[in-house]
Amino acid sequence: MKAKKITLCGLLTALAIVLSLVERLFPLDAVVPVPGAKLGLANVVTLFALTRLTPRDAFVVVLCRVSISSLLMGSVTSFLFSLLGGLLALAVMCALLHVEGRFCSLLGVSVAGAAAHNIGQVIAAVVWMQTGAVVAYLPLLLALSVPLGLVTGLTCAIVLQHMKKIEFGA
Amino acid sequence: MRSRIKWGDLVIIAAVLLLAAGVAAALALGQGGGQLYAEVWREDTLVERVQLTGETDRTIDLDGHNVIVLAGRTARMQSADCRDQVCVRTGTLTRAGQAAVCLPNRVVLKLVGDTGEIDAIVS
Repeated sequence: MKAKKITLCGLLTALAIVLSLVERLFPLDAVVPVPGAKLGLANVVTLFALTRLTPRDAFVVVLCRVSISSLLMGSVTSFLFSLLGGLLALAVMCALLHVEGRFCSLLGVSVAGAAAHNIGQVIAAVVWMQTGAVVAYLPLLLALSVPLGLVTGLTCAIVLQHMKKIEFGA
Repeated sequence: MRSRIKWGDLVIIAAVLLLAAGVAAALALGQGGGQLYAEVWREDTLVERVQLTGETDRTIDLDGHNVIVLAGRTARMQSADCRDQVCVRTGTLTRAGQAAVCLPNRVVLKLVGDTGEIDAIVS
């Protein structure tokens, strides 16, 4: 059972890294005047890991994904931003998943996660750059997190729907 | 399917949008955050340093050579008695770091902020 779990976590991490790479093919910040605006495809994996595995496994997946994708294509700064964003998104989605089904659907969880990710990133930027001026990007990032969160949430819901057909999970 | 919208989703979306609007409003009220000062330099000495607020309305006349108008959080060189008129054509200054320079009269009008301005974002 343990080996299966490790394999699953590794698979999800690899998938998340690939999604981060794919995401770079759609430079959203070329369309919107905000640096760092991304589709958030890796969030699909986090959400999936949270629903099918334990929060602890999801935490490990986020940690590995952020570390490895920063090594592959980022910098120390982008590592810090992604880490704080990823962990805040994880915490918020983990909390909201407890009321998912009664209070809200996966879409709401995903939107809240996307918003939390952006807030985390901006907090990291404020601390790193020692200036509050970066907060100016927050309103647009938050507004963007609604449509993008809906897309990632829908993607995750569709994936889960298909996953019902096969035996998956630890 | 787990994507069927529930009322809580709308609450979450509304909350996120409200937060975005709230931050935007707070930033607008704080006027981009930070104080803005207009400095007038003449022959390498600071002759005036005025804090610009929304209510600022002042005209500084430098012995008739240069006339500077401070209005709200903006400043401009209204007139100069030099030939080139470069400083006048610089127009209205609105952000910290901007300056209107009159070289013939050796007068500099510049805006300074109290916070460090970002000059680059490294992605």
